[in-house]
Amino acid sequence: MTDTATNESTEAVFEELDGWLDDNWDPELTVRQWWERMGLAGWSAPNLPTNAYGRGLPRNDAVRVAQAIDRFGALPAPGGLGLLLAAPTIATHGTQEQIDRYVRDIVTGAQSWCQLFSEPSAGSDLAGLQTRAVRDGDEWIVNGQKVWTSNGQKADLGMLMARTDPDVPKHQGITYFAFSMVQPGVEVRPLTEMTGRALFNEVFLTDARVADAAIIGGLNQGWAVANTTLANERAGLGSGVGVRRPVWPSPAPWVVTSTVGPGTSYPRRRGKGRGPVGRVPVPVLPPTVIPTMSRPCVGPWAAAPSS
Amino acid sequence: MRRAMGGGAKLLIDVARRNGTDQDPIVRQGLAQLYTWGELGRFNGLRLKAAKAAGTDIPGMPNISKLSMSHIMRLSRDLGMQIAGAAGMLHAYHHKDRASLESAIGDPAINFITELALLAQAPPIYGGTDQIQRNIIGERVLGLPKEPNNDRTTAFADLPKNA
Repeated sequence: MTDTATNESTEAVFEELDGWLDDNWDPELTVRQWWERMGLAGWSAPNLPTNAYGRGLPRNDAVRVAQAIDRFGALPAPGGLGLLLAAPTIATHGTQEQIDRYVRDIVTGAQSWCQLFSEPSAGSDLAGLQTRAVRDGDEWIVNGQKVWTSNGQKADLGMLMARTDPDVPKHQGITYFAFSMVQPGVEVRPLTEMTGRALFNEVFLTDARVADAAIIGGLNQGWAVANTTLANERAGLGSGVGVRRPVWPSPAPWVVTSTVGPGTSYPRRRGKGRGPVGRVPVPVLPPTVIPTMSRPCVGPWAAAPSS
Repeated sequence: MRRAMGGGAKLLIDVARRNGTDQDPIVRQGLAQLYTWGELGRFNGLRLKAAKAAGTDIPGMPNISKLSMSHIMRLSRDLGMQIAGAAGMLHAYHHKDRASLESAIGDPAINFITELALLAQAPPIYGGTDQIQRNIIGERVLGLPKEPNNDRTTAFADLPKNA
């Protein structure tokens, strides 16, 4: 394909987006309704493949889509680690059934995710993680401790790396699960920093459960799956997707979350068409501080894949 | 992040101009250093972008960026405290206290400087410590031998562990 052809097809996407926004954006919609429209139309994460609620666009173009939506004045796509990390990981390694189960709720902002990777003694040496998952029928019982979990207190699901086979070298016995954070056996404790804020959490897992069907990418294949997550973390960093400014006032506005209640209305910040009609006072930290506080910014270095 | 690096220097420069510390030669020198590190980060970012666009890569660049970020944070902390002076010792631990602190100090940017100074201890530790970054740069960029290790051939259960 020549460059010209690429450009032409890309321009067609942006024309389609303009038309779609004209037809679909309505400030009277609830956030949930809007994100449902946007996600199912493939505009929340257009970098995802077409079978995963995306449009198969290169990341640069996906960023341009987000910018175009912003310029138009419509509410941006749901942010958070689900869209940035879980969705592309599941799109790459998950089954179609898993894509429909998890990615759909991510692109429509119905469920938010956190990352259950680091442990007190497994950060830079991520492959040394000790959280155990032991099979029990068609479920797994999980015990262990995770740390530096952004959004842990709000997330519906976690990208869990757990050791499923301790009798093989460390990279070969790890499995990646889509893990429910809302269950007995999951305790999330905020880590208050000396700034007075609590951006991260500890997560204690005590006989927590996860279904066999929630394994992403196959039993004991978790290291490769996690590397996809980390690669997306790096890419997201460079593009600014996922670390964008907060779109929703929340108690911790610098933590980008992606879930809203079904009836939540977005304060009418902007009218249909171009230009703001009002401003939502969103308290934000200065841009000098936000990046360094964002877990997505540091994850890429947490577990660089071994060569 | 690249913008933040340059932006960090700008924030401090603005405060220094407002409170007159920009006339202090030590502060000026520090601001020049901070600005330079910010620019280095920006140029490295552009280099990496160009390399990626050309289908290549710059080995170790994420590690170099991470190390730089830690350094910039430390520099910002020390310089920021020099510029803020005694007011830098005050901090609003809760968001609701921020407004009253700002009015007491008279320059809202000093709040941010203090916040940054308190946070500056974190980046050299989180996301792979400075020492880990240097190990990785040593092995992958400079081609130094890896530390001797049997952890790729030994069962996880047989490896020594913390806790």
